[in-house]
Amino acid sequence: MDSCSTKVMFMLNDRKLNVEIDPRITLLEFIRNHENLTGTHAGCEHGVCGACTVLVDGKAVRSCLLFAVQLNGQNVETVESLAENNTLSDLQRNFWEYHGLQCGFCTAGILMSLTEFFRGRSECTETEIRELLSGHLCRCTGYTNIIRATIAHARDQGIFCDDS
Amino acid sequence: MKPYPFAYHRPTNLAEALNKLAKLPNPKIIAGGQSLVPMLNFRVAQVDNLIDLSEIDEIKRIENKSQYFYVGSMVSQRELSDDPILEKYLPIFKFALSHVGHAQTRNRGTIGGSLCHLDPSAELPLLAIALEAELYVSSSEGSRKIPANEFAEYMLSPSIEEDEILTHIKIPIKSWSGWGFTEYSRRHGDFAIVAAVCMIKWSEKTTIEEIVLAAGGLCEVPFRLTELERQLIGCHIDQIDINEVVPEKLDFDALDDPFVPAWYRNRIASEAIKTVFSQSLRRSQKASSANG
Ligand code: FES
Ligand code: FES
Repeated sequence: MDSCSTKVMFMLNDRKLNVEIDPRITLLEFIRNHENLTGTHAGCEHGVCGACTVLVDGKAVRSCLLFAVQLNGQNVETVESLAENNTLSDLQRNFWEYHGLQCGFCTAGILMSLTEFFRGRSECTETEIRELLSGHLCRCTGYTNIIRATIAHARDQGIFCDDS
Repeated sequence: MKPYPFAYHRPTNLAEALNKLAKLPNPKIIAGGQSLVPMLNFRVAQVDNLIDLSEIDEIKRIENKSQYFYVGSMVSQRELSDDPILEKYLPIFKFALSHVGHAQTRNRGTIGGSLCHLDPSAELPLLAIALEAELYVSSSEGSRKIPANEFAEYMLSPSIEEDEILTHIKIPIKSWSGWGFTEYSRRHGDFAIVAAVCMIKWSEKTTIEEIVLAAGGLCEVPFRLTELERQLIGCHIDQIDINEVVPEKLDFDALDDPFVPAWYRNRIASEAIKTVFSQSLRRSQKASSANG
């Protein structure tokens, strides 16, 4: 329905986009199929699994529950923004080292939630990490290594408070 | 999975939004979209004109005026729970908000959106009823206020007209001596099978002067258990055996589905009520010992 096409302008991984799109295109579909940023995964497409999580204005949100046209003037960050010049970010490196993933389907979303979580945080506990991860489904790891990798990252940052 | 095609509108003030809502065919308001977008994605809901309220600043404010807290309908659940004043005056509200979906949906989900969606087990309608909030709605004809218990008319159906928009809610700030909130769900972040709230005010630290007991998830809409409240008012702390007052199996016309039958909900509700009552007692004792 081209008659419905709507203009929207927003930032995607530091790139300014000025596009005209069908309003029913979700942000998830837009970043994957229009921008070919396929790091963000489509799981359930109704807000349950967290695979599609990206940051909008610095906050972790489900990109399957947003239409791209709703993003006017906002700033979107996807998993592709984490590594620089093919070097993994510290968080990604910890996931790599502690085997925080198996198939990797849930990983992009988890990394984005954690990116928000760690920004500007001066301390964190395992309870808080678990609570945050409750917004993500992982069908492979049993979560143990995800939590290990996250705690390792928090330790690296010098902000981990043991509450176990 | 993609919704049926629709046109999208992003008004920048309330008057324009109300005008669009009144004039456009088959319109629907979108707030945070955390319940509506799944319904659109599944085509359970179909709209021709989607009206996005996210750029209307006048309904995005939080204000605290003497005895009341005003919360704009487009305030996100995250923003409200981060508000330091909320934590100070309505700690139960902050605590209950942490049970609404997950952090990732609270970042987008709004106060007004959840109230208008009116899921039977959602926390916000339950809180609004327990705290006796008033909901303000506007149409191009004018505004009116609706007490929360009247707003929650039927399951998923608030008593709001098709041309009206919820603009803000007004929550009275009362000094309760103790409060409790609990919910029972299969996994944290799932919709509650049953949620319960209790708030108590003591006179002379020993007798119940005022009490609120409310349950969500049990029936079509959250409600106050007025019968139990009446029984408890005026009771001396030493005389209350909550296990006696609250029957093991409540007898409400509860929601019934193959996974969670009505009898089960009634039993869980009984436990939940006892739990929040005990939590309130513990919190009152803590508060009174802190005050000397
Ligand atoms: S794909 Fe968005 S939450 Fe599952
Ligand atoms: S690593 Fe496979 S779903 Fe999480």
